[in-house]
Amino acid sequence: MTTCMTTSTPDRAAASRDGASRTRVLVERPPGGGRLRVRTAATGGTSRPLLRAVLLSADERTARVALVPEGALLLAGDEVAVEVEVGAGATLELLEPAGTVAYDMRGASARWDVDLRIGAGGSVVWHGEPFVAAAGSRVHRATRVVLGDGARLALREQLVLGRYAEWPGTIEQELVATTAAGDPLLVEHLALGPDTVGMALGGRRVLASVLCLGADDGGPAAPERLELEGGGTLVRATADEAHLATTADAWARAARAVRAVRT
Amino acid sequence: MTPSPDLLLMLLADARLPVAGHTQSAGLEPAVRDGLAAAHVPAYLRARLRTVTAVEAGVAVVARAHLLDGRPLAPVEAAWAARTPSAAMRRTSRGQAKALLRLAGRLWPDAPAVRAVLDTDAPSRPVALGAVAAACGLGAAELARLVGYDDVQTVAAAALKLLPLDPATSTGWVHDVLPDVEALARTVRDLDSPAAVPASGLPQIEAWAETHAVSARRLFSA
Repeated sequence: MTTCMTTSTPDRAAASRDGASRTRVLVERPPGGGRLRVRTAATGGTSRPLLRAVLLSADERTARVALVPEGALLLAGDEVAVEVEVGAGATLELLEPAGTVAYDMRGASARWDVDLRIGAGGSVVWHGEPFVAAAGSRVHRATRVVLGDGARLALREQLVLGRYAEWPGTIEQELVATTAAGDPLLVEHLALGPDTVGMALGGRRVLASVLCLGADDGGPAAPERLELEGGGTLVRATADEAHLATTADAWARAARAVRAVRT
Repeated sequence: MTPSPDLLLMLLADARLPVAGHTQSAGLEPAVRDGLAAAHVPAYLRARLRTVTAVEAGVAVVARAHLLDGRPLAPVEAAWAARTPSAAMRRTSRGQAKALLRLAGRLWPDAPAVRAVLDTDAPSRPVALGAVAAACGLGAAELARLVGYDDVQTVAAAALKLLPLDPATSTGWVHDVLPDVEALARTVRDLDSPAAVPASGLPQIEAWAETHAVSARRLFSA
């Protein structure tokens, strides 16, 4: 006899969907002026896309788009790909309505790929919400950013290794930011998991970061503020609890600097 | 007769080499101040070998290859800088490169690799090491072993000054991680392109480096 138990891990087998999902957001300034043109598309496997891009608003300068998960994320075999292209001179604000939890994958893994291309003088402010790797999860996250001339990016991320009082999951995170010519601005591979958080994060389970590229956020020098060789900053905080990872000031400054109207 | 790679490696890995190695703790001092105990040092050594030291060894190997073929160094330096987000760590590396190049300029004054790096603006330590390897005929694997071994010995020697320890204990740590140094050398020995260099970071080590750079109380410069 089988016993039905309540579990916090959604049942993958019942859904039987192909885990691949592709979400695209394209923002352009129309040649003749006027409101920004925003196109979104989402394609999924056998059932539905995992992440839908929803246009919230658009004016002459700025478009606001939310990345809304459809159903449970993130499960074994899921492959989420997000492609964002922002044309010259346009500003995109990307919002996430809630954090993401990667559930126990029982030996399997999932992918989360982001490709972000920002055209000359374009800006992206990405309000990332916590990404939680529950015990037993294994997620490969890859973020590729290409910045055109004068392009700006403010990217907020928070990686949480394990839910409260839980063993950490595993996150392999690759970030590659380059100029349009291919010159590297920041290349970083973080391997975070049960065996490595001790040294990587000083035994804490939350890594919050604010990346600001192409703009000077004017923040004060501080040990948690890494000033990158090619300009820009990476501000990081580690903590035991997500709400204690203090990057709020850095995020406010970075978002303001990236949104600033050019003169 | 050219000296054997073995003898050259001994020379370059010797703590008596006048490159101010005694001023370095490979990040151990701020780690100890933050609570890292002797029992954690072996894990610290292995964590470095997999991350920041892999970046350094990879850059050194690629720099050597570029210098031997006369390819430009700028993309190699750019790859290193993009993989070294901590400005404090970049400053330390460039300071160490200066000391090493002062010596290299005396030992191999006519070597094209050394001259090429002496002509660049503020080279990094791994690029300077790549030039030394190219100048004295050291292979890529030997160079990578040198980078790994030097990092391990730097930590171990600093540990003796920072923690109550028997020198035989710290030497035992070095001995026990030699297979990890070998594994690092295998990972990076065939690298040829700057984009292929490992980019593995360790946020805690970077944070410690930044804290240490502004600390008024310190035994080691980094």
